[in-house]
Amino acid sequence: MPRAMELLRSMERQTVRPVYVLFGPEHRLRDALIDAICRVVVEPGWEEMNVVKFSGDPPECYLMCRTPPFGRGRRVVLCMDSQVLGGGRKDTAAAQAQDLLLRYLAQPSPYSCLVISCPVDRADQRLRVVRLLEEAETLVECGMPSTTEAMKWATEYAAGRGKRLAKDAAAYIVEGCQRRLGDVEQELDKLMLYAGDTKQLTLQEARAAGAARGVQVFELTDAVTAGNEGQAWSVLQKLLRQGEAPAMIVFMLARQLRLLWQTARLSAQGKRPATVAGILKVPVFVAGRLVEGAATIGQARLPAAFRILLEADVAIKTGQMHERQAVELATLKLCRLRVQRQ
Amino acid sequence: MAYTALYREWRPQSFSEVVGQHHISRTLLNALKHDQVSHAYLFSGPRGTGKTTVAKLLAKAVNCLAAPGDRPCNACPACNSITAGVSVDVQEMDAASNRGIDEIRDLRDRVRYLPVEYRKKVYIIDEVHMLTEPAFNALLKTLEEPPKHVLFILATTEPHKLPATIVSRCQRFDFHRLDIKLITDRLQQVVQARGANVTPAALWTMAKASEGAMRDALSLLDQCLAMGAGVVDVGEVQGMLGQAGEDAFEDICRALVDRDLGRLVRRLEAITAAGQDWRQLTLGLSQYLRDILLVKLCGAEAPVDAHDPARLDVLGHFAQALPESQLYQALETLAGVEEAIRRTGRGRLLLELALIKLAAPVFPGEGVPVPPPEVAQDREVPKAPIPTGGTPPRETPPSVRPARDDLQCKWEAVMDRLKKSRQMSVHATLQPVRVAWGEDENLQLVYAREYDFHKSRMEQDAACHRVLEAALREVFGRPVTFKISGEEGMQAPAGSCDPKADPVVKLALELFDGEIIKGT
Repeated sequence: MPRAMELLRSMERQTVRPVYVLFGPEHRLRDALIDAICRVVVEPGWEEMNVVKFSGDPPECYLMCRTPPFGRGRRVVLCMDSQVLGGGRKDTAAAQAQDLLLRYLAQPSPYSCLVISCPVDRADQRLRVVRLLEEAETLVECGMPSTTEAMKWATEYAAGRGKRLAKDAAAYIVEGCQRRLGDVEQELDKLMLYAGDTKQLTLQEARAAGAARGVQVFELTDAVTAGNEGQAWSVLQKLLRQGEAPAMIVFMLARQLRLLWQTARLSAQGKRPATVAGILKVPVFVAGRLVEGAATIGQARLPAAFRILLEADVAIKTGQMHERQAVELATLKLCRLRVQRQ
Repeated sequence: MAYTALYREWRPQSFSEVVGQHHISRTLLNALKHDQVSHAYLFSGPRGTGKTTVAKLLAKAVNCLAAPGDRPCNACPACNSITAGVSVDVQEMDAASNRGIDEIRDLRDRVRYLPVEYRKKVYIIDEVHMLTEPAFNALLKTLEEPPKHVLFILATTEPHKLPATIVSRCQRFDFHRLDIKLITDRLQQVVQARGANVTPAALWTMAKASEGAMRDALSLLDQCLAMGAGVVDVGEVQGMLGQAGEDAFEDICRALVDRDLGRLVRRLEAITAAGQDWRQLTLGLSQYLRDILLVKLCGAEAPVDAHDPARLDVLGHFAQALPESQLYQALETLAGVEEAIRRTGRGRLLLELALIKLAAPVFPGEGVPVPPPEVAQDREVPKAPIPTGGTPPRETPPSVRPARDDLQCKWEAVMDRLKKSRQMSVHATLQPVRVAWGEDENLQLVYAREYDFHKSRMEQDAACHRVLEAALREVFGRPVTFKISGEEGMQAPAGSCDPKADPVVKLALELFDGEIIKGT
């Protein structure tokens, strides 16, 4: 099954298929792919006439596919929110849509490219239509991009607007947006406006512009693992001022500590950062930071750290302690763990 | 002329006047300068941080007739009419009271028409998270592809309640809580302009109480100025807020350091006489102890509020005198007290009990408390108590049955233990119980009639029995058997055959000059 990102990169070079069925959680990628298909298929200047959009799976869309286009080139027929990949025995609408598509797939029109977008995150491999679409190589997954891909996307997006995005700034934004391309673009738009006429977009500017909310939790973990109480306190207060929920901060700290624990175990087995990155599915530079952090905090202290976070979590969720105080105390205790080790 | 509240009078009229949201002001100013204003914005953040203010500024700026770099000019007819709230092209809508699909359909129909007076029609939808799901769906299409002459500004304090489809169609800006210093500076500016006399410490207290919300801070100042002429000092502000002064916290901490129960009780007595709110007092004391802990951990660089250098010295003194373990213990205890006050409303009793326990951390008959295992090796072991004001602790022999008050304390310890060992379900089942010793050395757990469900659960659940038995054994240091009964089946508590001996009965008799009548 081709991935949307790869298809997007090679779209200009390859032959466009008569049918594409898109699915997956990354909507921005899906929109970009649809734009690319329209750009390649439809003759410039004929977009208004030859790009036709339908909602759902009306039989008219197949009729439109078989109608010759206006002027030169081909037509793109878009079916948004299709139920073609829907399942279930009683889902008659989905069954009808699948039937129509399979009949069209047997003899597609040379005049058109049919693009069907399905609002599902996964394709059910048990469905006959999915197997047939896969065989025809028309099923395209718009999945979450890897961090490297998202960073490349961000850099290219900025370059397209005449800005140079520093690598660490790209990583900061991508991490903060959890690789969601739509959010990455929005944060970049804000950052570019914040920066004004400056060509180079740096990490400092990204931080000052408040781009990529949530990423400061990583700064908090770094400060905590280093035992830097002042820094940890200042980042924590900043997060709380931004309106981050204390329970969320505890969760993020626990998540990061889990990664540190896994890293510590892998490092103890002699694994290099690149291997760690592969196993933990994080970029290499993140793995490097994790290896450093794991060495700093020490594996022996991690169970105590988890206990502190568990206590804070229970205190917040059962109302035993004021949530702000619970997270503040937990942060200080975590910092103390490191200080006591020294 | 009608009085205008300070927060309205001092609402910023240009982006440069907006306090503490530099990242947003600069971005929006650049967007205006380069004509890159988005079609929809989402302003999110805590209350009183400037969301509606910036929305109104943006509405003015996009319609301002001045050159792009000077917008809003506050001099042109567009700026004036929008400031006065009379422009038909700027519509402010409260989504909390217009939350249905009909209102959004109406809005959708109206957006098609061109602006009447100026360049853009601006719709400010406040508290947008209150819209219903169908209303959000109706808004979705308009938000996705609005006409070129329309600008939507959505404001909310709870962005997580918004559908992702709405958020992704807007340029989102997160407003931050304001720093105490920024709020204090702004209040100072207002005070100066008014020619009022407010001490810096009073301003700082107001800024702190506002929890990062400028509107709250200005409202507090408004209230203080309305109290009368003369100097507004910290005492008046604290009185208005129902807060205890820092001298009260200092006194309590001194009593904790010296283990001076007499001073502690006297201070609490004074607080009671002043009619202060116990929950506020607990929160204030927690804050004060937190500051001491920070000074202890971070030294002079501690990120505490040090508007007055003398305060830092006092905090430093306590930081030296109080061990870290005691500070953590105190903070945790006070957090529990605050929660219990919220639940039960018995502020004085709970706080007094907690502070007395903290001043004398080893409870009579309990031995030295063991710190949690994960930090046991690092924590300082609390010193044996030297209660100066109270009676020396008596060791209760395990065979001797404790007196009734003592039993109450032990029962509280049992409940504490259940809570700490996360036996929340058993804890909840035992919450309404009254305890007393039965004639046959059994501990009687008595449920009132309305707690039949709790009683039957306790009677039937063997697991509950096991958990309670274990907790009782830990607290009493020996196995204790118990009986569960309803109010009607309750035996008279041992040693209380004479009702006159009961302190509550005694007090009631004294108060109402009553007599005891034996019922049938």
